[in-house]
Amino acid sequence: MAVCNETGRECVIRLEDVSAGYEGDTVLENVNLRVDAQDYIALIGPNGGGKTTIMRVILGLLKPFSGEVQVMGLPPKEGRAFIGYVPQSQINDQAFPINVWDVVGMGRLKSGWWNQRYSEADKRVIAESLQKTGVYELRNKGIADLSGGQRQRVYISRALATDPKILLLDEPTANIDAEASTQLYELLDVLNAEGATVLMVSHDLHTLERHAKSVGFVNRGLVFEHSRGEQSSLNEGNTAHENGWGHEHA
Amino acid sequence: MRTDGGTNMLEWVQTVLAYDFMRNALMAAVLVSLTCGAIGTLVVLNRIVMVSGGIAHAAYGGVGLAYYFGFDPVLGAIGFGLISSIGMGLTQRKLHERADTVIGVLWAIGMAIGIIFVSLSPGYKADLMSYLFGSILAVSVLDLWLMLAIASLALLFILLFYRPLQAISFDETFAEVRNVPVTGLYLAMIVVVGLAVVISMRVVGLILVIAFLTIPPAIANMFCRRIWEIMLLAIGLGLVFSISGLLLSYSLNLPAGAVIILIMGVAYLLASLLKSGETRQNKVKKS
Repeated sequence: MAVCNETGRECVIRLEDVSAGYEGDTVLENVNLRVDAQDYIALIGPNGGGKTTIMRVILGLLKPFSGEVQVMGLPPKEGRAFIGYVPQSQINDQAFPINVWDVVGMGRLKSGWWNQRYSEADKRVIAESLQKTGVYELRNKGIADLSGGQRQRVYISRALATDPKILLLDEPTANIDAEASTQLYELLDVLNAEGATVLMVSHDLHTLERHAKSVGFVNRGLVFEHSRGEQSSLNEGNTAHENGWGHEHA
Repeated sequence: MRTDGGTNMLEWVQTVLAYDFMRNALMAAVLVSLTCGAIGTLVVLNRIVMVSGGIAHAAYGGVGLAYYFGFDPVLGAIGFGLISSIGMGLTQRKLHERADTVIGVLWAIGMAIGIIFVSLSPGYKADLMSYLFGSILAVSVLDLWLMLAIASLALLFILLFYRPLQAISFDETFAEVRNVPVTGLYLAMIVVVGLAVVISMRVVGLILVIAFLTIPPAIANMFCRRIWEIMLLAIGLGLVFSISGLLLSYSLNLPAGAVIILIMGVAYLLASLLKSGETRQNKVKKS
C-alpha cells in the first residue's frame, strides 16, 4: 500500500480523476481525494453537490464513469471490508423490530451466504463495541425505543464491530439535538486519537471546525481541503468555495 | 351447565373431524398458517405486499394453462408463481419505488393469460372459482404434501438465513457493504414468498391471499420487538384465525376463506385500536 511522502502515513483511500453520477447525469467530475491513515476529514457542500455520491463510490455501491478508486490499495468492493460504515440514521425504518445487540451484530456479518451465526469471538467484539460508545446498557432495547443520539451511537458501535481501519459516516448528526451531536463528535475525537481514520459527510459546519482535522468542500467537480488552523474563513459565513479556501488535495 | 356446554362443543368438534375433508382442511390451515406467519413477516417488514399480490394474480395464468393442457392447476400455479416471483423480484431490485407500475402490468398479464386459457378449455369449470376465492374444504392429499414441502422449505430458509435476512430487511446498504449477497438473498426470499402465496391460494383464494400473508404479521408487529417474536406470534395468530374461521364457516354454512379473512380483519382493527390506546397512554405518562 502506498505511503504518503508528506505525512509518512499509509494512504487508505485514493480517488483519482473520478467522475460519477446516476443514469448519465454527472454529479462528480474529475475528483481527486487522498485520505491517509488517522486523518479526520469532513466533507461539506450543498445538497446535490455529490457528498453522498463520493461515499457511494468509495463503498463500491456506485461504479464511477471514469477514474480510479482504491480503498486500502484494493478495488472498493474488496477494500470496503476495512470500512466501518455509518449511514444516515433516518434512512432506516426506525420502528423496525430489532434490538440494539442485533443491530451491532450486523457488524460481524461475513461475506457470503453461510456461517452467519455469532461465534464467541463475535459476541466479545459486539460487547466491546457497545461499551466503547457507552450504549452497552441499552443492548436489549429495541432500536425504536432509543433517542436519535443513542441510535447514532449504536450505528457507530456497529461500524466498530466490523473491526475497521476507516470510519465512514454519512451525516451522523442529522436529526439529533445539539447536545447529542457534541457528544458524538467527542466520541469520534477519541476514536480518531486511538488511531481510527475518520471520513464524514456533514452539514454541521460550525461544530465540525472544532473537531475535524481537515474540511473538504464538495460541489460537483472539486474537493477542496482545508486544514485546522486556517479556518477563519469558515466562520465568516461565506461558502468555502466562494472564499477559495483550501487546496485541491491530490 | 358449563360442563354440558363444553361436552357438547367437544362432541361437535369430534363430529366435524370425523369427515376426511375437514381433517384435510385443518391440516391445510395449520400448514398455511406456519408458512404465512413466517414468510408473511418478511413480506410486511420488507414492504413487498404489492409484489406478493402481483405473484398471486400472475399465478392464475398457470392455473389457466393447467386447465387447458389438462394437468394439476396447483402445479401450473407453482410454475407461474416461480417465474413471476423472479421477474417481479428483479423488477423491484432494479426500479425500487418505481417498480409498482411494472408489477401491476405483470399482475394483469398473468390474470389475462389465465382467463383466456380457461375460456379456451372445454367442459365445465366449477372448480375454477376455488382458485379465486379459496376452497379449503376441497384440499386434496397432493395439496397437503405440497403444503408440507413448502412449509418445510420456508422454515428451513428462515432458520438458515435468519441473520442475513434480518440485515437486508433492516439495512440493505450496510449488508451490501459487508458483502452479503443482497440480490441473491432477496430473490430467494421472493421465490419462497411466491411459493407461500401459491399454496395459500388453495385456502383463501388469490383475491384474499394477501390478507392471510400480511394480517397476522401486521398484528404481531404491533406488539413484538424482534423478528423471530413476530414470526412466532404471527404463526399462532394464523392458527387461531384459520381454525376458528374454518369451524365457524362450517357451522354457519359460509365460505371458509372469506370467514377466515373477516376474522383476521376484525382482529386487525381491534389490535390497531388497542395499540393506539396504548400509545396515547404512554404519551400522557411521558408528558
